[in-house]
Amino acid sequence: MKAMLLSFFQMFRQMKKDAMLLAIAFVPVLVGALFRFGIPFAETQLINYLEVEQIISPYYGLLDLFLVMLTPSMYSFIVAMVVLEEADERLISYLAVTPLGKKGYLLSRFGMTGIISLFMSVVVVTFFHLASMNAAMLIVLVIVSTVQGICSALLIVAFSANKVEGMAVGKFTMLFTLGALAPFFISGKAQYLFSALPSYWLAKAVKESNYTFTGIGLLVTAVWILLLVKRFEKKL
Amino acid sequence: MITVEKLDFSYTNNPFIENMSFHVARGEIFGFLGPSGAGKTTLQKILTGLITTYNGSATLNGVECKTHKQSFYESIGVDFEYSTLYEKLTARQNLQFFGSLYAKPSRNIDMLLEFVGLHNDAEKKVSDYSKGMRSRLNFIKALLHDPEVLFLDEPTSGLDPTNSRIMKDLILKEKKNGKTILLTTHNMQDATELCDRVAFIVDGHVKAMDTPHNLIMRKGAATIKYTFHDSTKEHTGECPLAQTSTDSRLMELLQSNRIQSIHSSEPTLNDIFMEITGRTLK
Repeated sequence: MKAMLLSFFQMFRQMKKDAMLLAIAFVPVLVGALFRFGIPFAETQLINYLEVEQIISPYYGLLDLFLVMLTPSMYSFIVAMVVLEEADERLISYLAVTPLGKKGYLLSRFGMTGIISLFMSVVVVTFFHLASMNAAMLIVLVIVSTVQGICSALLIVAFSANKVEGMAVGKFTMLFTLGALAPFFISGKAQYLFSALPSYWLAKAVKESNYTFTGIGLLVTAVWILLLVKRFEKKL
Repeated sequence: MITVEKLDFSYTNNPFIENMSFHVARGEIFGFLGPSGAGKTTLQKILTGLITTYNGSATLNGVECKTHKQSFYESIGVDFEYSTLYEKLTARQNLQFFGSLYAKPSRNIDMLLEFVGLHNDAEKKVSDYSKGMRSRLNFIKALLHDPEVLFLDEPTSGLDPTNSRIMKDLILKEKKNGKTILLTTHNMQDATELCDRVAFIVDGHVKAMDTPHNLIMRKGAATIKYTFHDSTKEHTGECPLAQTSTDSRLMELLQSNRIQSIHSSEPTLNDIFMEITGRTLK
């Protein structure tokens, strides 16, 4: 445990030396503030201008879901960049033969970042949410989104050879969150085309206020993680 | 200290390491010599617990390598052939971090840095280090927790003669301190100079294992080659070094100062390796 904590703090040291990663850590707060104050303001302006009852407000639940997924997405990108740099410097091979071990390393990077991301998500969503949402549902969504964030980080490190490739794959992982649009905008069975994406199940849970879908989302994410860890371990 | 018995391992359906057995005693420097792809790195991965899907037995300090606990790494130090350091951190920060991962207190960092002549560069970032400096830093990183067993992979690879000498002296100093050292190398001269015993590994098999001296003696004693002129042309003669006094022609040539050139020719470990395995190490 001591080695894992030290390894986790070492990641902060790495982050501190990279201005881009440090800035990304604050993106959820900035975007959250923009959502909380900018979107209702834009809604009021649009309603007055177009003289309609509502435009964006029916989708506040969906926007909240994106807010929930934002923190894990950003933090997953940070951890993926640090891991890719460490892989590039062949540090992972070395750490594997220290008391930290391969498993300890993976936990100190993906697991512990997940915990920080979870707390940060709760803070961001609590302060900046738009719709009134059941607190229990919010917590469940935050937990599943955090696991989805770990999945995104693994996707980046499993399919990138270096940080440049990682940035490109990082953009691709944003597609993971787009599954959330399907339950809101695609009717009928066609929406199940997105069922391999955990975000689809989270959005379905929000739309239908049904916890079962978050469970399915968690299951789908677990399958992704298992496959990605196997692929990443082959690279180590 | 290290015992390998009937070890089998394969990455595919074809055997890669087959029926390998050897023992390394405490305080010994044991060299693995072999061409690329012979199985040396795989063997090191097995002994450091990174590969656990082998058959047979590989024990280090009485612990079966495939079922080790994390505390297993408290007693081993690994120096990879390549640099495994945080480039953006200084030498001191690197050593402080890696040393902190172990349960036992680190050896004195300043002393270790001085030991390899890096004490004046302790606050320099690793990215500003030369290859030789990185190799030395990498080496002392493996010594931080004062391990009982050291795995060294090509420790002198790419170093200039001065740095290579420094590294070899450091290795011998650690042996004097009682460490068991497993050395993987292509460099026969290093192996001859450093190792108490060596194993020739080819295609996943140990083809020969003995002290460098005994292996060299298998080929027979050193010989002397000499050239001389008679009235018409140049001739060459050869005789074993131990039998020079019985070579009457050589004696006569020496007496009459007619020798044009004379060279002793000792077999090297490389000659023995080629003879036994039919392969070269390059």
